[in-house]
Amino acid sequence: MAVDFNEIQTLSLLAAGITLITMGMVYALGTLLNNPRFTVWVKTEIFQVFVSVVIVFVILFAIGLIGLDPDADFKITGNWLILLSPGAEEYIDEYDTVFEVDKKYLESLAGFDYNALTGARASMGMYDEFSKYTKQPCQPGWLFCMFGANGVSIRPLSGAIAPMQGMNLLMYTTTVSYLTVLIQLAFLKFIKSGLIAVYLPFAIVLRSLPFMRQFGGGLLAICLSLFLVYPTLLFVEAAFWNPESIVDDYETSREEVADVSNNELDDRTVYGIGSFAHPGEWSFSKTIDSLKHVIKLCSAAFIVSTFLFTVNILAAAAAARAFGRIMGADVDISRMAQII
Amino acid sequence: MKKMLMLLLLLPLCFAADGDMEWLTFALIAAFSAFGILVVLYLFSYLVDSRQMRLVATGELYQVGAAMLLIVLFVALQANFDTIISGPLSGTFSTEDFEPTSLIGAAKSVSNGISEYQWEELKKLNNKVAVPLGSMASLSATCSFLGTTFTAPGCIGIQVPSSSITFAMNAMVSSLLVQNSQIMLLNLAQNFFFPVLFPLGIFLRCFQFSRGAGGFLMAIAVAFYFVYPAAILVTKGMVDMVEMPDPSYPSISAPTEEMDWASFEVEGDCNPFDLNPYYTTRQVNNVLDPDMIDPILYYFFVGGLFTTMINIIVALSTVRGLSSLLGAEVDVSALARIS
Repeated sequence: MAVDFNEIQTLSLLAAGITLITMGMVYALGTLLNNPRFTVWVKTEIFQVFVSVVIVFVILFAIGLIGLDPDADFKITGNWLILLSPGAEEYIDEYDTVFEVDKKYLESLAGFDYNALTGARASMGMYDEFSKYTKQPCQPGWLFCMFGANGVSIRPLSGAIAPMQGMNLLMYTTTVSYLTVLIQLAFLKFIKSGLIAVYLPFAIVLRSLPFMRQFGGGLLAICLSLFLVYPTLLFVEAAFWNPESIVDDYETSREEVADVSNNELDDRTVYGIGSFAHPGEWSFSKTIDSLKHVIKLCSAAFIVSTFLFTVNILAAAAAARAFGRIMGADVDISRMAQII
Repeated sequence: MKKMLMLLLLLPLCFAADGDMEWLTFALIAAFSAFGILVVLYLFSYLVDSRQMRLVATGELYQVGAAMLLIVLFVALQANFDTIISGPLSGTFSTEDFEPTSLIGAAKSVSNGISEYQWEELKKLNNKVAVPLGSMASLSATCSFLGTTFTAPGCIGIQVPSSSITFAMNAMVSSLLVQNSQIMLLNLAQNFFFPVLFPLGIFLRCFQFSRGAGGFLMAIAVAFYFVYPAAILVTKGMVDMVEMPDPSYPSISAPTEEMDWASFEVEGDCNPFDLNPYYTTRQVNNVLDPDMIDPILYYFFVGGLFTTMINIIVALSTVRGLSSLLGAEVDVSALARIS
């Protein structure tokens, strides 16, 4: 839903003008009837009209600042990020707006989580496969199993079920992290189109009405914190998003997990049937060594995707509470963290 | 009196050690930017002749002053904390290869050490217990002739202790995951929370409408930079106070690839042809060996999972307290749920 912010500006000024005219008429009526209630009420409401107009202009300025209004003269762009952190130019363009930077950051994060998830899933699949390898007897060998299998059969790597269950936990945790990032991407889309286009004008109108002022103020506080504070925090995080600063020896871990995901392991052996089968090596040492790196990446994915998201929501909730107090309403959106 | 207080606060700066204070530049820029904006607002109040606006701007300027005091306080804290308070702590946790020079460095060293130790024990449990038990449990004797097959899974009972080891490994992996998450949090605290969120919090705290968010961000930065590493060191010290030996793994003799598979004699602790329940009992006794179980339970459940939970709870309690002090009322239970 495209929003013409110039129209909002014009409509707001028109609404303020009509309200002022109405207030003027009520004031005249109050003076005529010599009723101080009317005149005092008018003085209060005129002040609120100016406050509402100021709020509208501040909000429109903020909307332009974060890049939602393409005609805005002054906006924060990716260039600011690149100045703060030169490493950010690897995935951010200097002309990207705040929302575009947030989107790219979350997509990069989703890619990181997806790699960790793929590593965990591939490891899990490998352990599952190892646990099912069976050495089936065929005695005596000169019969070539013509009369069926005879002897002792074994699944030599059946113990791989134990680390496989551990991988289950890693997969679950990383899936939650990955889905949390995808939720944030969808949330960002909602803020950009739904919240700004529908809730914000609605909140401004409600705030202007005397009997709905508190509700409108609360809604306005929620809108401001979610479209101003939350994307700004993501914008700041985007500047310093660098897996190498979070994961020690990140390149080694990434390569090890990529090896696992691409199934390029030397120690995987396939067991043939019969007594002439090549036994291969009864171990999965390289896979178990890669488990350490999978755990590292899954931990990083969890902390960055889930923990930081919660911090962002709580910061936005604190801002909403502060905004709400100024507007005369008590707002608490910290329960949004239960999305996780 | 006020001047004396100011001088006292600035005195520790004389003993400031060389340290990485990138955050200081950003914090000063943030504070001076806020100061500039409020000065403009104050001057504007004269233009529109608004006493109320002047009062608001004056009040907010005092908050900027408070923010500058906070910067001074944390400069002193960061400079001196590492030399005075962390010195004895990190001296306790120094190793031959590494001597930590800061509180967060000591905490990272300790967490890495715990993680490496847990990883080695997990590999040993896997190689010495899980894999042999699993392979033994899968042994079965098969005899077939002209379509009739008789299979005797004589060692199937060993699946019982084998599944217990599976559960144990699950818990060990979760302990490793938690330890690594702790290391990631420390890296985040060092590279992002303090250098970035703290100055951002100072800036936001200077204005009334963003004081809550600013206070919360400052609280997060301080709690995870100072309190969280201290909690890690203290809980490690508590764990080390108990004398617990390293786990001792039983010797389990499982069939190997070198065995003569052509014969029906199975080498190892279980022969499926015998159908002897003693084989299961022996492996159950191996798994329940207190020399293995007690240390594993202690180092993974207490030293791994429990202490990590304590550390995060201490940090979050600090966040809650500091947030209230700095002007934010935030319910941080959502962060505690992650633990």
